[in-house]
Amino acid sequence: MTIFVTIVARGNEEEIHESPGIRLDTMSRTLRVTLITLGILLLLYGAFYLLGRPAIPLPTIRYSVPQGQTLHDLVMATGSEEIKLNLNTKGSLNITSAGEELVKLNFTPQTLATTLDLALKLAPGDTFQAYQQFVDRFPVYPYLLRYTGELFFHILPVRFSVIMTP
Amino acid sequence: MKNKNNYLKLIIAIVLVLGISLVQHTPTAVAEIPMQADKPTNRIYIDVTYDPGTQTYSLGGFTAEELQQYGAPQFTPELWQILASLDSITLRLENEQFNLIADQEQLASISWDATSRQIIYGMLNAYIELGKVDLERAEAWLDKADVELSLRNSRQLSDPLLIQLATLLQVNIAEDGAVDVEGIPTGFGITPEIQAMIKAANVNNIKICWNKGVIDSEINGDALPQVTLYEGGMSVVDRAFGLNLGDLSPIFDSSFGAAIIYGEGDPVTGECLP
Repeated sequence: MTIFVTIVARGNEEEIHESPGIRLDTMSRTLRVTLITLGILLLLYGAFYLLGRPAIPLPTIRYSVPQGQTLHDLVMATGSEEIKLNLNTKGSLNITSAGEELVKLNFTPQTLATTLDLALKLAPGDTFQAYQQFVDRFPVYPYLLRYTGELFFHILPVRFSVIMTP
Repeated sequence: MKNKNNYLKLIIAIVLVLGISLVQHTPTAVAEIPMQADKPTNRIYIDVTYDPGTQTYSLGGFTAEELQQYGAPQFTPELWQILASLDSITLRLENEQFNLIADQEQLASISWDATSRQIIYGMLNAYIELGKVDLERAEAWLDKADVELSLRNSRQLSDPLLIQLATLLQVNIAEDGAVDVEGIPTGFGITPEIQAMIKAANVNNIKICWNKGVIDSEINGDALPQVTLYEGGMSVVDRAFGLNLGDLSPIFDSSFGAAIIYGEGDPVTGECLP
């Protein structure tokens, strides 16, 4: 970033020719392609950011709930025999049926972390111990999980739907 | 030369976009929440319609049959005798005044400001030895309270119950599982399995607020995701599992909350603001 700013500050191309740090004409092709790709990506993200970071839609998944499951009874009780689950990683999860909202959940990475922590502690059997052992072996895992959550919440939100039918 | 110009333009564009992006913040506004000093924070409206002919009554939007099903008590013959002679009775606690109105005529008015409440607490204290904490809790509930109990001689269904409570209901769970509400023993207790779960999760306190279907909750001061339940959704659950929940509209029009403290857990502060 500092390099770019230096170039802009120096202004015209003759000065750039004389700049000891950056010689665009002497850059290798690979470096130039990388820089341009990076530049385009940054440009696109800048535009995406300015547009308010709308959630990127992913394909809808259809799931047929087998008979005998609790979820099957719920799907059947809707009347429309269809439940749609919409997840927006920007912080909302809502369940609808024939356009009518059934339940909505608003979350942040912090509230999700609290829920996950609580769920682990309340999980049956030795789930919590198994998780602790896993974390002891891969100490980076909780950070990875947190940063992935933060990434999809703050930087690159996506949304997808699951349609459940009997 | 031309290529270099293009590179330069691209770099300048990137810097400009990044610069704008980095300085651009999501517009935020600090909402000016008006002080509601004069507005009641705990509002309860209970409407009762009664029919002396059939000696049945409806309360809070529930029919006589539904109330019987829930085990609501029947009025005594003496009470029916009084009610039969009246068209309506209203007990209203508002604006630091307690009013009793019968057949549109004011029967009595009692001052209900902080000073008069202190006199009543003093009288009660002489008989049942109210503790300091109890007095504080009583003030938390009664200060700025707006309570109305309306009894009407009518065969119509009563108006739905209205409960909008900002003050948190204090629920204490002792180490042995006994449950107290506002310091009053309920006689109920939580099972050893639930106690074990609470201990395993290291839960000291829970704050839970219900506001017309929206549930906000905190465990040990950490917020959980906000859940919104809809009447339509509850009907689906009701039909799916045969819960026979009945008419849920009164509860979906209500707001209230509870502070649940386990053992010697830290007290929960704040209110449930609708």
